[in-house]
Amino acid sequence: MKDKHFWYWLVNIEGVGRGTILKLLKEFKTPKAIYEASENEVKPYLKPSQLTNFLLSKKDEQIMEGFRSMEEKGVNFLYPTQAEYPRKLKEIYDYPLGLYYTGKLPKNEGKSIAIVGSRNCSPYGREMAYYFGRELAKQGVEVISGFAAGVDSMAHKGALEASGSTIGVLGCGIDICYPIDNIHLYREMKEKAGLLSEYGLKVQPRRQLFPMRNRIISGLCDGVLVVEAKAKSGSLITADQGLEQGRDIFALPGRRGDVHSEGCNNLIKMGAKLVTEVEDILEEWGIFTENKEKICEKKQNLLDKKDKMVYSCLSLEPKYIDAIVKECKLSVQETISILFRLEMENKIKQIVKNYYMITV
Amino acid sequence: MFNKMISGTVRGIDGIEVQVEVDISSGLPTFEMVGYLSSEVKEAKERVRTALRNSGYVLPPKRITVNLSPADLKKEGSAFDLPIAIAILTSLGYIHKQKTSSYFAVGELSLDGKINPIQGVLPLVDFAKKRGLKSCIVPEQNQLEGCVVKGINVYGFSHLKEVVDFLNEVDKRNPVPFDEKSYFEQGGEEYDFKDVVGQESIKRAVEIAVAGRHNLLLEGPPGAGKSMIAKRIPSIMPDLTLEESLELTKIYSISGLLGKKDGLLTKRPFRAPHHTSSQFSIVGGGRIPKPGEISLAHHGVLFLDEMPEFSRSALEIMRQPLEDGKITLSRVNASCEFPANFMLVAAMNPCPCGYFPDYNRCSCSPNMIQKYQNKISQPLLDRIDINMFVEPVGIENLQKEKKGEGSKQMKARVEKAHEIQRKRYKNCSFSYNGQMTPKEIGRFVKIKPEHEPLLKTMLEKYKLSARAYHRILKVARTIADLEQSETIETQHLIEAVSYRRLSGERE
Repeated sequence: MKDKHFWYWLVNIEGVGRGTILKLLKEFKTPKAIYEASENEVKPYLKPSQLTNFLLSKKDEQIMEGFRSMEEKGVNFLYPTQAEYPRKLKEIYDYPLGLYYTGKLPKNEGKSIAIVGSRNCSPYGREMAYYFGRELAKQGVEVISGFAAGVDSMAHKGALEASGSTIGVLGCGIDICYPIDNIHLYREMKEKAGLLSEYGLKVQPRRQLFPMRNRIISGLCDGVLVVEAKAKSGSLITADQGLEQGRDIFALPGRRGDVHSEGCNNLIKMGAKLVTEVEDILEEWGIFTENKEKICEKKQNLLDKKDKMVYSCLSLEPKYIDAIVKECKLSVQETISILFRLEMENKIKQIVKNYYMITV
Repeated sequence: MFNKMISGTVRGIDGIEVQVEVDISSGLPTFEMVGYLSSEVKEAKERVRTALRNSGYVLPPKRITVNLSPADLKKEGSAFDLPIAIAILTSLGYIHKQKTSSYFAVGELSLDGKINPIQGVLPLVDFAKKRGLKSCIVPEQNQLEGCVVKGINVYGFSHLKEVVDFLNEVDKRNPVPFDEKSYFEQGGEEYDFKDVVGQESIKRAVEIAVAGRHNLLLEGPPGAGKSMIAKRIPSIMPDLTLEESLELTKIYSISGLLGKKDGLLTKRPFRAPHHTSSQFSIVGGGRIPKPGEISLAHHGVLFLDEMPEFSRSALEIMRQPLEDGKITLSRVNASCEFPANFMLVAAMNPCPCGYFPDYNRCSCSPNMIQKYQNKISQPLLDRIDINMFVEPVGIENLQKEKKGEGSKQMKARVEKAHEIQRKRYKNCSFSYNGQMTPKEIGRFVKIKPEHEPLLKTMLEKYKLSARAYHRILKVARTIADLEQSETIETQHLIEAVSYRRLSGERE
């Protein structure tokens, strides 16, 4: 058995948590030493139930077999003393003792941003997550997120669209795609980007695992961007932990009274940096871009008069077709065909039937 | 002494013959009824005997045998009381002339000899006419619906004595007159699209749906005006023809839903069953099948409010009638076919709380929304060509906004479109664009070569299935018909695409 096997064994003993492992490591220094220690030597550090599991788990063949079958599934294992272990993550005080990953690993050099927000977000939030994911990835910033529905997925998608680097940190075993609706994204991430988790294979998603997962998200990045968060939101935990870990906190502002942005606005009040453009983030890190491109401006220049009229009455807030008809003073039929043309050119999209918004 | 009277009973929406035979002979005094009778027909014995006595006719102590033939047909209902009474009175010589054989009679008797109304008089009178009979005796309260049939004299009576007097030619009355015009000229529509403020795009979609008889799905939050719009749909449908009107009245007649003053139904029906309705109340059923809501909405609108709340079985069962325009119900005792050529208008909230996509009010998770929308099966959605989202008109706009077009103008355009379709499909089994099958679409909907690239990009962009593609072509044909355009233009295709249902998956 090699070092990796000993580490793999140590983090996978049922009922033995991080605290116990740290105590053992403090005493015995290496997992190998723990493994080779006698029952009497480890007894003071373990509760009786833990001891039974501990002794039962010491089976060379089973451990080797488990490790091999995991590797066959394309899942790799990392332990903290390894050189490949993400440097930024190692810096936090409660870094994971074992990491499972598939695909690429987070980069040690260069900047990375965690884009987080509600699962149940508004179309505006989705678009913004996608936009910031894409634009930051274009500038070589790595996008870290939690692979959840809503903002997280859109941030990943945006980064993938720009062929940038992105890492999804799961709150369950790495062989489980949660939420299941994200299966296409799961496959794409495995292939083109990376997925990472603290939890072993087949660990089912449980609600208490997600806040733990959040410390890894903030641990892996240099700054946390909260796109949309309600007054009480998991994303705020990520921001809190980011703050403790010394990361920059960014937040996208929302309108007063908008429940989806209450959390973001509170963050800004408390001193998070207000972000409306990608540059707001980049300048913090001394990255300066030349081709500044404001959302939507370029797109509008290409349109003819009537198209422009329809386009300019749309925004990132979904708008109902009758409101567009009334504002532009065109007939229903004409408006429909202009909207159709714009939709075909991917300038706008229908968020639900008859509700239109611009794309970014 | 033997005597015979012709009567009938209803199967499906048609009448069939039942002969009432009476024989009075010497023997032990008894009143016997035979002929595969249900209990309400057996009870006729007591009603007839008492009614005869209370009307002043004496039943002699003789052996009376009543047979309803054909003997292998189960007889139901109370309509045989009157023909039995007439046949007995004829046998006893109270009715002198032996001319009852050219009369058709139906009616229920009260113990005092009064004649009570029955169900299904219209199909029965229609049958009598087809059988070649000259006159019909019906309860007075049913005379209006009976007289609708042309080519037969219908007489309405309220008491058994009147019938005897009439048959003895003491009472020389004229048949009930029928004035077709008065029915068709009866007042305008109760609901008018004039009352709908704003909602221009919905009105346009509704017009197209009616013009091509496409089924319609309206989504929107509570209070958006979905029901208000749906209720006004019959007002822009072309008037019923006499033939359609008769068919519809027959359905209502056998269901016992005709009011006292309704002879002929001339308004298109609007049926809105509650979402707790069972599948049998929707399609019809019973031991001897009776029409359900889909048949009662024949030639009109079946409005399903809160569609996802309907039971799955009640919705799925509509799939076949939606295709065929009729429903065949088979039971142990009978198999009946009812017409069910209706326009389906469904309304639903977009999510369980109803306020999606108002993100500040809607608290439903994407999962919940998906689950709610999935309550309606894809095959059923495939039969709905036009899907629109209705947004409530704000209070300030309700007062400010000017009134839009009324039903009259919309109806005029719809009528023209129907006319075009009638000509185009005169040799076909269907009469509207919405009823075309893919094969017929290939025959009647011609796409210009220059539109093919557009269609291709459309299919790719929206990931449309072949089914959705056909639906778009059908709707495009209707839009072209509304504009009285021979060919389908780009504009028509684009508008048709905008009425498709967005696939449930969001990004």
